[in-house]
Amino acid sequence: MSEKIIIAKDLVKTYENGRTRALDGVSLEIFRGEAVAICGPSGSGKSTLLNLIGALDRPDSGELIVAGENLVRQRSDLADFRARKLGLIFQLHNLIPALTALENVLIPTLGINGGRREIQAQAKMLLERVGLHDKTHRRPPELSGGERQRVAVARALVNNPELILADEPTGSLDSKSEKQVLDLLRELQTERGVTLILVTHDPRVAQSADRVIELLDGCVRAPVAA
Amino acid sequence: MSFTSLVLKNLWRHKIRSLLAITGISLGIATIIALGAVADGMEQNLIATLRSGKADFSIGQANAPMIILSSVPQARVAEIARWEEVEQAVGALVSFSSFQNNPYFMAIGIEPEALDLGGVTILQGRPFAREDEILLGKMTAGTLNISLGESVSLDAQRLRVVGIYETGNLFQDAGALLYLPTLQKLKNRSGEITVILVKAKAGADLNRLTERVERAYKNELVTLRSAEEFNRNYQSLSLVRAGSWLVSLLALVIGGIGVVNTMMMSVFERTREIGILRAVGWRRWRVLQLVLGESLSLGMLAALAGTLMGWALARAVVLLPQARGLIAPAYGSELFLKALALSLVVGLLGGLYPAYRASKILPQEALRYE
Ligand SMILES: Nc1ncnc2c1ncn2[C@@H]1O[C@H](COP(=O)(O)OP(=O)(O)O)[C@@H](O)[C@H]1O
Ligand SMILES: [Mg+2]
Repeated sequence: MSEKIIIAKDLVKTYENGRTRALDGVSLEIFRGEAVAICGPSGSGKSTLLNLIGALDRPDSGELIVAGENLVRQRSDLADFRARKLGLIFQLHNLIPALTALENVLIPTLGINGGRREIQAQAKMLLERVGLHDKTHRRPPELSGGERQRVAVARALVNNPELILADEPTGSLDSKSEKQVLDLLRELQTERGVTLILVTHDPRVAQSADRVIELLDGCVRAPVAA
Repeated sequence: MSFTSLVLKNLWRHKIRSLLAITGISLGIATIIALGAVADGMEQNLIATLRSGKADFSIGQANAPMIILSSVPQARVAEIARWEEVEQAVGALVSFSSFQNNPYFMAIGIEPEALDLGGVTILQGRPFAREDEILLGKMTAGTLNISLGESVSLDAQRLRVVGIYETGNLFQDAGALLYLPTLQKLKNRSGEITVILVKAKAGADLNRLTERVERAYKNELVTLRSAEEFNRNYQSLSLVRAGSWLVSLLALVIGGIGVVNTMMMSVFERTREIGILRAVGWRRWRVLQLVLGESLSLGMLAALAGTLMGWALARAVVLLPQARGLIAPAYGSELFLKALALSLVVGLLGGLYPAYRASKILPQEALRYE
């Protein structure tokens, strides 16, 4: 449990030509297998930080190494990195409405060619694991909010990632579904030994993690404790 | 689910819109197929007409835009007939004349001795022997209900029907044969013919003979032994073909605009979805492939629909009374390949810009939830 999967140093990210300073020198370290919550009020820079870790965006300055990949130096398209190492879950707009639950789970695997049959079986297995074995052919509009997020959880795991990044995954759920999804995430995380980063503005949700990193105005509030 | 089925699903999601784009392309393709099939059919008939019978090969004018516009000095017939390898050489003038009330009737002027070489079988009556006599093809006589001994008018000239013939060629059997000087006079083309039909002596080397003709009359005459040679020498410049290319171009532009429009709309609507694809690890190139796959599929489906429509259209043209069995559309594989290639090009070109735009969508922008 001592290997660092994320090392961030002095990350700065600004928007609108520097007028908005979303991240103002964030440093943190996260270990392999940990479940970490990034908590803070709305606008504190949580999503910005998660987007940097998720290689969806690049910092203006600072150092960032995720799963052995230097994301600041790396100049090429980071899609491959995301496909190999990450599972992403968002608050909304996770799923493609026209596709069935099963097809949505398979979407990450269509980015690359190859071995379809086993992946299909794995996707089915994952849907079963998140308790949706009887809804594999339902489309998102026919699913409840909690069920949709469970599909997103299955999708995030289909590529056997090292790291799951979830941005307010329960932000639009009632408390019962919220608990279901959080429990599921924690179970799968320990089962598979992956690292989980959970972004939330809700301290209660953050409590489900091993460790909480607090953000305020683009800065880490509580010092990183290993 | 495979990548291909995702492509098709995306088209299926907006059936009406996809259908409209497909219709746009396929109308153009249908026109090309119908026009092409009819033009090919006419051309092939014409070729058979000019190559028919027992002749070993024909000779036409080099560089004529269409075989029907070929013009050969009649003096060449006698010159070539004198060569020792040549058994017989005869000239024929082919023209479109007005006959009864048909302005595009094919009349062939020929010497009576040449009828046999031309592959003509007399079904009723006898060959023409005088300047004011005419033979009618079996279909001409049949459809117009004209019988032996009747008087007909060809380019306002009265001629008497003395026989009815058959050659097995659609054009010829729907036309008429008459004395060469008569047709030359009617058309104001004395001393001029369209083709020379040549029969070589038994045992003569045909290759050497045709080479000799082309050497002796360099840049003036070409020899035509096969349908392919006719095509090579006369098809590329033909007006019909130029027209058909113009239609193709128009179809390309109209169909292309339809595809650009459809795909732009579809990409714009799917900004978020494409953001998801990028976020979960799709490369730019893969997104580009997806959108291009969709537009290419539109092209492919349009090729299919357009071909069917074009085929039906050509059938309908044949059934028109004006066509009078004159047109037998030819559906060459070349024509279908051209239609397919064209619709794929339309799909590709029309999809290029939308696909590029799609590949530029940034996942973090697309997924912001305001
Ligand atoms: N794409 C963007 N363009 C401009 N400003 C942005 C953009 N993304 C985030 N911001 C700003 O950066 C700050 C941090 O935003 P964000 O990381 O989304 O916060 P959180 O997720 O904690 O609510 C906010 O002030 C927000 O308005
Ligand atoms: Mg946020």
